[in-house]
Amino acid sequence: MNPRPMDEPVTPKWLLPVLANVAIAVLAGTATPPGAAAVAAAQSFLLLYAGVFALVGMSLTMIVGLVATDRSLLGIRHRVLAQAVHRASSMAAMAFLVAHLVVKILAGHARAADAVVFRPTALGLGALAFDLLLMVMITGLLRAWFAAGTRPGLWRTLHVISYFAWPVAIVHGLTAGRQAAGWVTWGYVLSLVTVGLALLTRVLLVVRPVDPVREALEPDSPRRETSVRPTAVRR
Amino acid sequence: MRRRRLVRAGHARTAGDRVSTAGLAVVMLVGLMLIAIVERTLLAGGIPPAVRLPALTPPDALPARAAPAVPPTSPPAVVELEPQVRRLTAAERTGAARAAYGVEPGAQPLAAATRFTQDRTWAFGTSVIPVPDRVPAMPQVALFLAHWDGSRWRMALSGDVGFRMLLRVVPTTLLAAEEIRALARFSVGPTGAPHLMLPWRVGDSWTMTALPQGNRPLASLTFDGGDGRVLAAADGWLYRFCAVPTGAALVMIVHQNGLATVYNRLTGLNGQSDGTAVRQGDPVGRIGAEHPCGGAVPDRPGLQFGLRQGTGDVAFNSMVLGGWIFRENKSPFVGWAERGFSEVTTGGVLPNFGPVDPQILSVPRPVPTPS
Repeated sequence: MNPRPMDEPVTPKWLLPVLANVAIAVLAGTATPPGAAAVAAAQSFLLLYAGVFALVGMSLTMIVGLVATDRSLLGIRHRVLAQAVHRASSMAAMAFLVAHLVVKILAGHARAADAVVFRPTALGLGALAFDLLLMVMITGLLRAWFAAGTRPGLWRTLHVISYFAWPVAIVHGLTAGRQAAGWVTWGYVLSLVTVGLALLTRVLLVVRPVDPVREALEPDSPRRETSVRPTAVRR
Repeated sequence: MRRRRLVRAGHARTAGDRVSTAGLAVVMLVGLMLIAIVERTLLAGGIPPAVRLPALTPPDALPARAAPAVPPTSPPAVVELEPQVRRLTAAERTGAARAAYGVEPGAQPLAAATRFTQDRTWAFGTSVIPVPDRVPAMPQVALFLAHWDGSRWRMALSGDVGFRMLLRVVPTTLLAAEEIRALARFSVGPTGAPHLMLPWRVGDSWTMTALPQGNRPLASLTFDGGDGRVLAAADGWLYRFCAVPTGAALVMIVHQNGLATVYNRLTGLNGQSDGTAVRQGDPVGRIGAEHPCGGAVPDRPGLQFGLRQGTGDVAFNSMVLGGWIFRENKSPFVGWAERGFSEVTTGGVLPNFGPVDPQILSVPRPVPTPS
């Protein structure tokens, strides 16, 4: 069998009508007493855990996204798989993040403005992280548009925002709401350190200093990524 | 058309496709949950007004607040307040009380509204589930905050999310800003450990006795001795539970970092009202043999002492009080207090060294084996 062409969507055409029907069934079922009880349980669950799942999803997205860019660790097939995991976990994380905001607002724990307006509080950090992640998500969805444009590197620059948004989200998660258990805090600290070290390693591996002599001799030569750590200027 | 469908059906689904499908499934599931939640909220009349917040400022940055200027649509039904608190306590805390007492709590909860705003639309008070007879456990207590929204009381017990939400909007005419901060920390969970002293005069030595409950060897810790005067273990705000005309009561002091110390079987309370700010070493009462919140009849006057936060008791394990580190070991099942090479087990005598910085105490020692 042939692999699925890149331009063909993963979702089949029948999905949307089926989903619409399921949504109508859910709306009808919610109005019944058993449905109301089930929704109350779902709301209670999301109130407690949507934020946690969003944060864990984000952490997974960051780690897998970083791993997916590393050519020295993974082969092409595994990198493609890692990119798929990166996209899937980011989708799930954003879904839980939206759920986190919606249930908190609907329960009266926050106002709609608190979801997006930054203030120097634990809650405000969450709003800042959400704003930044929204930008990362939108630019991520527009990646093809950036690639076709005149400055394809701009997408990568914008995607780097996630490195700022993620730690802010972690600080929000650990300081707002209920107190985190010790192992949870340490888990996030470990994730931060791991990603920080991985990022540092990547920067050291792929960025090399500009060789002025070579630049002068070969002005048109592209700057290629290399996996060799630069220790001296080659002549 | 048919051929195109067949060709598509022939495409292999890669591992990446399956991962993407799983991600999409999560998104759809969460989306369906959200539309159901939005519908239920709309059917229930929208966002609940009790926790609709004028500003989501954390308690640490609270400015002085006045009661809301909007007049209620009907006068507060004060007579309904305490029965409603009792029902709320029974509904929410019976399970925790059953676990703490080891048996089904027999009596109905006791509730007392101790403070109101001038317009009586805000109320604050205490509730407790009495301990059944012959059970030596520490009573399960809670603070409550209630707001009359014009048609009914909206209320929450300490430890609940709603309590913290109400603390964010409670007028400072009911609770002082400093008190609000301490109660918010108490409700959520303490931040760090305060420098506690043992609850009697520094330098005096009292006898420690303890009864186990569940998996805690020091679940019911009792002290007696000296001049019998009980002093505040640290700065904080004092609340009384089960107060009876004879002067006996249970007292809880919520400290600035959110940890609370609980003093049961007190007598001779010196008239502090609820929410009185006390300093470390201030007299709280005297040891007694009464048991105003129920429970086993003590064989001699003493102070039943405990630690608490939010919805439950805090174990003494690793806590530093009066220069001693308390240990509660599950296997072997033994509890003791240690300081350097000194160890005091139940029946022993503990000198109070005062609120000694834990840093200067000995490092944790190997677990001793029972002799």
